[in-house]
Parts: sequence; C-alpha cells; structure tokens
Amino acid sequence: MFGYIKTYKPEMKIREFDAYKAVYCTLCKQLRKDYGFLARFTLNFDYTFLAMIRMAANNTNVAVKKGRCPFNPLAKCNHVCCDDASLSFSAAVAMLMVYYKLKDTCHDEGIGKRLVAFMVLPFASHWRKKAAKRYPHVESIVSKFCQEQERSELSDRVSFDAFCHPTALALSKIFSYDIADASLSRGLERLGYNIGKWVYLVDALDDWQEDTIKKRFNPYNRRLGDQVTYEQVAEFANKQLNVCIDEACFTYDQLNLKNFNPIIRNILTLGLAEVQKNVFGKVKQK
Amino acid sequence: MKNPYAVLGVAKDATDEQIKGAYRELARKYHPDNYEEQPMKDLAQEKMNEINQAYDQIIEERKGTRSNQSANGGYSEIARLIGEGQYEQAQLLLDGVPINQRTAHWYFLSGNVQYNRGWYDEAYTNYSTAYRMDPNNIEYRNALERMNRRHNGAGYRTREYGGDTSCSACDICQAMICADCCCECMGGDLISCC
Repeated sequence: MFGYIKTYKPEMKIREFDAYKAVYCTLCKQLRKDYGFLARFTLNFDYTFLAMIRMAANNTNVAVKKGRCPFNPLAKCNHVCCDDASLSFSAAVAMLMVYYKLKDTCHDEGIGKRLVAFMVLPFASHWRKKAAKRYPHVESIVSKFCQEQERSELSDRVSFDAFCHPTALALSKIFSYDIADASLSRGLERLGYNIGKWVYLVDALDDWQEDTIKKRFNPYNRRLGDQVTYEQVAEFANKQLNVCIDEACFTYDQLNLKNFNPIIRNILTLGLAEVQKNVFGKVKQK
Repeated sequence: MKNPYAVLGVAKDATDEQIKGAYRELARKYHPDNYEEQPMKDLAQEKMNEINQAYDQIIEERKGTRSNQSANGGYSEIARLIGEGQYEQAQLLLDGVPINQRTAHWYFLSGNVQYNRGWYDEAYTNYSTAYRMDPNNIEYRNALERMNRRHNGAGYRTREYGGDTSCSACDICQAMICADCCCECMGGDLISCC
C-alpha cells in the first residue's frame, strides 16, 4: 500500500471531490485520535480507498459535517461521520502496514533509509501493538502476508502469479474482513485480490530499473529473464495490469454498492489507469 | 443433474457435429456478454454454465467410450466444481492427471481455474496451450481472445466507458479549417478551395 490508488480528478464532480477529501481528512483525524500525532504522517490515498470500500460494503449511514483542518486552522474542511468502525479499521490497517514495511526496510534498503527506518520503528512498533489489540485478526493477516511474500521471493519457483499472491491475498482478506453476507464477502475478496495484485505489480514496475541495476528481486525479471529490455517489461506489465483493473471494475459493478459509488468507480476505471500510465512514463524516462 | 442431451436440445444419437452446432447456437444466445442488465445476466450465466456442463459431459462421455481413457472421465466433475466456484478442489483434481494424459480440454479447464483464482499469467499460458492443441475448438479460441482483449484494456471497461479519446477524422478536418481561417486572417491561405 504505497499511495497508488488515486482518483482521477479531472473527471470528478466537485461534490464528489469534497466527499473524497472529507473521508481523507476524517481518516487523518482518526489516526491522531487512535495512534497519536505522528501517525498522521503515514496517511495515504490507499487507506482512504479502503475506508470508502468498507463504508460502502457495510452500507453505513454517512453524514458530512463541517470542521477545520488541524494542520492549517484557517482552512475549512469537511469531516465524515459514520456509525461503524470502517475508519478505525482502515487506520489500524495503515498502522500495521507501516510497521511491517519499516521492518522490511530495516533489512534490505540502503544505509540512509535504514537509519530513518530504525528511528521510526519504535513508534511504529507502539502503533502496531495498539492496532493488534483492536484487530488481532488483521494483525495476523498482515504479518502472515509479509512472511509469505518473503518466502515466495526467496523460492526458486518462477510462477509470476505466485509472487503477487501474498499481497493480493492480504488485501482480499482485508477488504472482506468481517463481512457476514457470503456473496458480498466473496465479491469483496475478488475485488481486493485484483486491487492487491495491481498494487504489487505497479510497485514492482516502479522499482524495476533500480532493482535491475542493484540486482535485487523483481517479479518481472524473474518471469522474463535478467536481460530483458524496458519495452518487453512494459508490454508484459501493461497486459497484466490491465487484466487486474478490468476484473476489479467488473467485480465492483456486480456488487451494486451505493456509498461513494461515483468516487470508487472513478478510482477503479480512470484513476488506476492514469497512475499506471504515469508509472510507465516515469520508468521510461529513467 | 439434468440430462445433458435435453439441455442442448438434441437427440441422444445425434452426431458430434449436430451437438457442436446446437451448443454454439445456445452459447451465442445465452452468452452473459449479451445481457448487461443485472437480473438477466445472472440467469444467462446460470444457463450458460448449464450448457457448458452439458456439452463438456457429452463430449467427455463420447471421448471416454471411444478411447476408454479413464483419466478423461473426471473432466465433467472438474467442470462442475469450477461452475460452483470450488477452484481449489478443481485444481487438486486437475493436478492429479498425469502430464502425458493432459488433453487440450485439461489445459482449458486449468486456464479457467487459474483465471478465477486471479492467476492471469498462468491462465493465459494454459489457454494458449489448449488453443494450440486444438485450434478448431470455439470455446478455447473464445477464451484466448477474451484474455487478449483484457490484456489490451479492451475488455469490460471500454465497453462502458468508451476510453477512446484519440483524434478522429472529424477532428482533423475541424483543425484544418481553423488553421485555414487563421492563415486567411494573416493574408495567406492554407486550403485554396475554401
């Protein structure tokens, strides 16, 4: 979860954008309330999306109230009130993800990043404890996903889909967490799986150049060989990413969710494709 | 389970060609792609599954009696499991078939299982193999084509959202006329006849 799940703003209505921003701001507030001031800085768009999906899946009553931004008291911003735990759930997921991501960084990135990670880790570990207390099941999902991811990357297997599986599975479980209705839960699982796979693949594409130079693990190189050119990777990646978005859109439409529907559709049908395009552009420029 | 011959509306002693023809006819009629509205789509999907199952069953039965291969007998069971969404189970059964007995249909069903699990790269490989082994089979070809469309971002999304924003012939004409007007204002001419 690295902030790839964005809206495509030019196609949004102003009221939709306001609603989206309200969820973002409320999540920020929730992070502060649950985990303290510093936790706010970990917020990104992915968790806003998660919060919206959860509110849509739970069919929560959502109301908007006016408020002020704590970072900039002069700016007015809206907040969302909802009568369920979607926001605190998303906040907890964010904290758990941050902790495990930092732990991962401590192991393998360069010295500068490692130093920063070491300094933030005590905070993150505190957040993790709090989040795990509230949602022990989610903690087990995330920690298991990290282990599995590591294991799949170390193994000799070359199945491209197997590399994406742990991340995709984690998101599929998070999306469908504690949803009683069987068919809704299955749909959310599928949606989460495709989003998770897409995020993993976009991230891998983003890092492709660096990974190739530093001879680190990258699923595209494992699948296509180390001598692969940018064009080959781009062609292959584009195909895989397109299927994921396509399937995610299809699954989402089947669910017939009401809350935040236009915003979620904007993200799925336009936002993801736009991010994908930008990442391709960025990798090509290098 | 219903009598597969009744589902396809053919006699029990119909030839393979007749059965294939009836299957194609029904598949065209009930293909879920033709039913965009939600309630109809569910029904069509259900009907489609039934038709697929019936077709698979007949083909497998006939193949089984012809070549007496015991391994082939399990395919209708696998197709049923896929239809019910029990992909893990179906995968287990598929894995049980020895490599030298894997037919085009085996690869097709594997592709279906992989696709439904979200393993698209492997699904594509399996569909390709099925198509290569039996290029005449319409089901395999459709599956491969559907996959290709999705690869190119022309699957489900574009049908509805019309992602085509490229420049049409009309746009070019408009631009030329505009440019011509500008040129004329400045005393020159771009298109002499207008």
